[in-house]
Amino acid sequence: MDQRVIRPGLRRSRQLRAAGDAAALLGMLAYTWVASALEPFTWPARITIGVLGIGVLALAARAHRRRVTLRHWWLTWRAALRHDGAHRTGRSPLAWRTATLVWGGLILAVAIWELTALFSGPRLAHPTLSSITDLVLRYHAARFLAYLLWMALGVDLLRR
Amino acid sequence: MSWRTITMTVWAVLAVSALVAETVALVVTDRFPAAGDVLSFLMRSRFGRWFLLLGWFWLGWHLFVRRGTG
Repeated sequence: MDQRVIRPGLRRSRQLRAAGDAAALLGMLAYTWVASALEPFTWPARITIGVLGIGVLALAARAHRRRVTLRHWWLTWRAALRHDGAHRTGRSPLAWRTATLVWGGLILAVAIWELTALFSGPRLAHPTLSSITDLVLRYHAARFLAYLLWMALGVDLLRR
Repeated sequence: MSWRTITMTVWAVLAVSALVAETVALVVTDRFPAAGDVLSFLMRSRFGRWFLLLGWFWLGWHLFVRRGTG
């Protein structure tokens, strides 16, 4: 008896939620399509990026998850590399040492190579990351995908 | 071999290295943290979190507003 009463309400609620999600997705795709079609160095391009960027930063400012100070974070990382801090990160010290070496090394290598290319000329012979992405981002479809990835990264950062 | 070829080869090597590291991390999850785990760890601190969020904003601005300056 109860099920007969509740089910239509539940179904309607689910349908409304699904319709809301679909509308939000379509709206986001339409916004991204329009925003990614805008010419660089124009106010519409600045405003569309600015709205998203400031929106994400505002949401980040409202988040209540506890964050540690830089000093505390540094001490946790130092401890994670030793045996006494392994329990805080859920991984062995060897895993964190390897990660520090590999990911730190990659970031350092990218930074060094980017600076080397940046201060060498001409740009055609020494392409930077920006000049390589410019080659791809001249196409609207590529810009649309890159825009979606950039937004997904922002949402992912917000959730961490 | 031209400088362009050398530069592009190094970029390709770095990209492939990052992909390999991420793939290995996804396969042996408990022995090697993936890029996402490192990001989460960096974002435990207020400074790291704001540094990464502002970096994300700058990346979007650089890619979609200041495109074509290089």
